[in-house]
Amino acid sequence: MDGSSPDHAHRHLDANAGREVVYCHACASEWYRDERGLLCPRCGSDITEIVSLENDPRAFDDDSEPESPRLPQLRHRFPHGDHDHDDHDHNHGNDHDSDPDEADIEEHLGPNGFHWRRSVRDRPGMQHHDPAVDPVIERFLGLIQDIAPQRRTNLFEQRSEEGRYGAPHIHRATFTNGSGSASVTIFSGSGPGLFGPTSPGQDRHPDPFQAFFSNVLRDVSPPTGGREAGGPTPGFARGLQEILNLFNPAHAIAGDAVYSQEALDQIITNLMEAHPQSNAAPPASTEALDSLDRRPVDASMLEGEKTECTICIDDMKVDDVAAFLPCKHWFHEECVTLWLKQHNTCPVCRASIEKPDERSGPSMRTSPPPISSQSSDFGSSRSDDLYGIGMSRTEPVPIPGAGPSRPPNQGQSRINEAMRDLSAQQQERQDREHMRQRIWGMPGDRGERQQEHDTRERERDRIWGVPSAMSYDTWRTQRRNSRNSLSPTSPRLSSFADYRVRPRQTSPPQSGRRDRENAGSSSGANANASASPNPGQQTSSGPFSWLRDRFTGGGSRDDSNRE
Amino acid sequence: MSTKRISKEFAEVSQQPPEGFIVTLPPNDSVHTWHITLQPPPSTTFYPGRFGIVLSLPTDYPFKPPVVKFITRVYHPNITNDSLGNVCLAILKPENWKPSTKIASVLEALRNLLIEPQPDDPLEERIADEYRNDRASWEAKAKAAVTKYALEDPIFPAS
Repeated sequence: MDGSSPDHAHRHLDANAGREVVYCHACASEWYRDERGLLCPRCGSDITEIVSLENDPRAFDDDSEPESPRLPQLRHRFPHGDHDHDDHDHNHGNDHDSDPDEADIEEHLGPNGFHWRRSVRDRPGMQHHDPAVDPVIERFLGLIQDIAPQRRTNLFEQRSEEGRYGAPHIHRATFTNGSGSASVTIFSGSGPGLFGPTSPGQDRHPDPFQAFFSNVLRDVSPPTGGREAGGPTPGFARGLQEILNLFNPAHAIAGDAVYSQEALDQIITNLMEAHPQSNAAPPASTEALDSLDRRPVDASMLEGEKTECTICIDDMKVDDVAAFLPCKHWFHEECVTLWLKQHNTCPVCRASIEKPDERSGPSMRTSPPPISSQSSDFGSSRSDDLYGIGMSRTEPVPIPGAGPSRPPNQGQSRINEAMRDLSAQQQERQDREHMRQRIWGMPGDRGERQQEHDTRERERDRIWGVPSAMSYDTWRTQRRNSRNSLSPTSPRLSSFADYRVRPRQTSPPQSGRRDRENAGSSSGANANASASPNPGQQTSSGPFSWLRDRFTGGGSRDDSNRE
Repeated sequence: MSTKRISKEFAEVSQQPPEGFIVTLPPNDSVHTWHITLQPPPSTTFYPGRFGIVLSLPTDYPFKPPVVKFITRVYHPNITNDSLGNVCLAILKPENWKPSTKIASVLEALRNLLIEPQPDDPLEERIADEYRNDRASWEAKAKAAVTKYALEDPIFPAS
């Protein structure tokens, strides 16, 4: 193509000589691709770029040594129209590697001094420009521009500190694979910046943009060889989505707190990966194990259909010791104990063995337990409602037996959907405030609140001798999990429950009753959860309470859906 | 217990294998590794491929689920399109596994997975997207992969 720039080329290897010159952005060395390949032979970096005449990174990098702010110049260097967007069409099938076709996308520097471009080169015949990327990037830039005015920008300070913040950060990455290469350049300059004035003193840290983009950019590689032309680039869009979330104050991870489904998923995924078993049911409690119905097999028991222990698939014989689970499934005592020591669910139907009084079968499904008889027996569990301590007032209605008849997956996705909806409503206002405070470093009193909340829970434990709200909360999810034998609960729920509750499983019966208790007494949990969270909830903004809210919403919403 | 149960199951499965399956034990190996060849039904995209599957049974089977891997490449949303051939099968997930599940059921599930991919629970998201949005393209590629990889008898790795 035309547009050669000999004034650059003569100081470097000649990129116009029919050989591809590769330039390393890390150490500024350059070499011929056919001699050394694409990795930098000097420093090993893979942030390299094949030099082309109309996009010579050497000249660019030379000019922009960070001593002087170069934003105006950058703008000048890449004005609209500088790159002919139509060029690539003519060059389809052109095998001339040193003069590759190119597609550029560009934006002017916004008020944040933010600019990006992406160029892609391909082997002949490959789809080389993915239009789906443009809107995503544009949306991203739009978001940046939107955010910027909200920032507490102090122009005077900015100007006076120009020397500190002024240098533009340039991030460029080149990706190559079998079908071509792509390079992306992002300039994030000073401007009345997103990160400049609000964090003086930290500004010498690496540009956050660079950190974000080095992750995203991995996905901006050219289309792979087998890929159909024109499809979206899911990986890239997803990566950018994550970044968008980072910029949104309501979608963030702050320390140990998460405030979006995505962030929660991410954390739970990490946990699940760290503990592959952690989303399975926990081991049975010793009480539950001890209370199993054990008796020797006699002839009458072998008359029915089942004469085989489904664990060892040996026949049950007279005088073998059998153990009966609450779900009426029975096994060799020896076999089932081995299983129950790992997971507290029935090896056949996965019903939990922990609460015998609750799971006598499908007949329990539609009739909520009577309130009065329960409360007289268990004054202590009643007490939470009376005293309103901690989180228990909005304890959700447990699902009264999802039952095997429930269609798999559909119900589950409904739960998730409901959880998302509800938590969105619930958290929206709250999150916005809290998160903005937290993320943008405005003063917040979360630490105190969390402490206060913890103290309350401890206090209640001491007084009533029951496991804390967290504990029975998770009992509920776990039961939901086990009851729903055909459609396993989302790993999200159960894994979290597990992860949290394991060390606490000491007194299941009590918590179990509490669940029933709440099932009867808090039929208004829907309203509670969505409309008016109690003050305790409002003030504790920790991740656990957030999750509890979410589970609460999921449970009650799901309930109402089904009926 | 595991060896005994596995032997029993192997006896059952090898005598009356589920439709489309051939199950063998590798020479000189324990019963904890099974070599399985699956030919999906003619109605499916993957016919007439023959897919090699290695099923590994943990020592504490049936308390832990078996591990299945495709040794034949498959262009499928739920099977990693690499040399590992990992499979995403719901009944084998730790939270879903129960000891009463027999290997025969696992094999059935594998065959069903080839008959009906589950793009909503993918291991290969790109393939899942394609399966959902451009079924013709997916089928073409799946067929191409069958032609390329799955027409010979699978060669099981010496383990």
